[in-house]
Amino acid sequence: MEISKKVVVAGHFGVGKTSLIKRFVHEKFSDQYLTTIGVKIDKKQVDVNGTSVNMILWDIAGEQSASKIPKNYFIGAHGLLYVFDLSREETYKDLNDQIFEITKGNPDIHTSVLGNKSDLVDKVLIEELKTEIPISFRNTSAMTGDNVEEAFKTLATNMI
Amino acid sequence: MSSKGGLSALKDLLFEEEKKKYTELNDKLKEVNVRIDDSLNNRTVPDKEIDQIVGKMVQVMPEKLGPTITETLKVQIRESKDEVVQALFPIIGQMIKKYIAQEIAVLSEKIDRQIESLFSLENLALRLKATFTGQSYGELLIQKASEAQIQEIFIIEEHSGILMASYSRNKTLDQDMIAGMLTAIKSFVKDSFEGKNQDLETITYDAFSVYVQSFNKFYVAVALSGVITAEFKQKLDDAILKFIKDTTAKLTDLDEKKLSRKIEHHFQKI
Repeated sequence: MEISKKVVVAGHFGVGKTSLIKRFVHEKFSDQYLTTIGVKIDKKQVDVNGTSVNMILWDIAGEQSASKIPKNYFIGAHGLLYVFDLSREETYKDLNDQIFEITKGNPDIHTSVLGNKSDLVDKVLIEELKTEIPISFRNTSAMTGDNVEEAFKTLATNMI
Repeated sequence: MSSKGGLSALKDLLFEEEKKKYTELNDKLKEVNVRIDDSLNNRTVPDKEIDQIVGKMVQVMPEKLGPTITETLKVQIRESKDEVVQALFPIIGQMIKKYIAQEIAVLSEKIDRQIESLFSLENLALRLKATFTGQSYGELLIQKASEAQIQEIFIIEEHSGILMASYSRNKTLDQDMIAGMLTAIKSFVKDSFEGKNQDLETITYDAFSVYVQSFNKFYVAVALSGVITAEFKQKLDDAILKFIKDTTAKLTDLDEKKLSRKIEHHFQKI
């Protein structure tokens, strides 16, 4: 069986959304689209227990606030990957508000939160942040590829 | 004294001064050569470092001098418009000539194909149309050759942008990603212009256009090439509406492949 799911990848500017997708995906459109209309579409097929899941990834251009992103981009999404930068506090201090802003019109959306750039911070800090930040997250590194594949596959599994 | 010895003595007498100057000059030259060799042997910067410096300069130069050169060029172009036009005119003229020649060749090929099937029913109908409408047969033939052609059809879920079915004359890009991108563009336009009940209808790019017809939960996007006349648009609208009317109930039952075959079969008639 083959199914398709829309996954929105959002988060502050420079947290590494596009790099994470680049790590995970090989098929992709030109990067120019991202700067033109603020979104770039990528696709990755993942096998989940015999079901082929086509993840259509909407890479949303980084903004300071989710409220500035066209709402229509989030409508109809089956999954959300919210990415923040473990080395920059300003990208996770308003995590709850940002995720609420995105998911308020779409309560059934499956959300995964990723703390990216784990290669830049100390393991002790990651553990501290896991107790400080009210939402559970998975640490990833687009640079080393650490946990990237697992993060996308877990979301694919949750969506079916 | 022999004549040879006499001549030599005479030469010595006549050119004594010059010979002295020549010897001095030769000595100075030797001295300069020795100094050059010494400075080359005793220099403090080795060849490798010089290569590195030159390499670095080559790298840095575009960044450092680029803006200045660009600005200089801009000023030069602004101040010498006539010269620029004079220089570019032959090149652009050639390009336009080449493009027109190519387009005419394409059109002529199409007309040739039409003429080859001169005795077909289609051409007979064209001749009849020419007789009754007063339009020339050639004109109708050209119209026919450049008429719109469906390249791709997509049925896409309205909000998620998930592809439900598609037909493509020559699959070039991933259909799922095109569906997503079209939906993103549609969403962007809708959001930017706050048209609650309005929707994107056409995207035009060069001689290529994407015609969009929105329904409640999905939309149909048709990629077209050629000249889109009002008559063709009407025909396309009717075909889309008929297809949706005939298939809506089965849209969720049919899998993507079956639905895609249905699309191909249905729209071939246009």
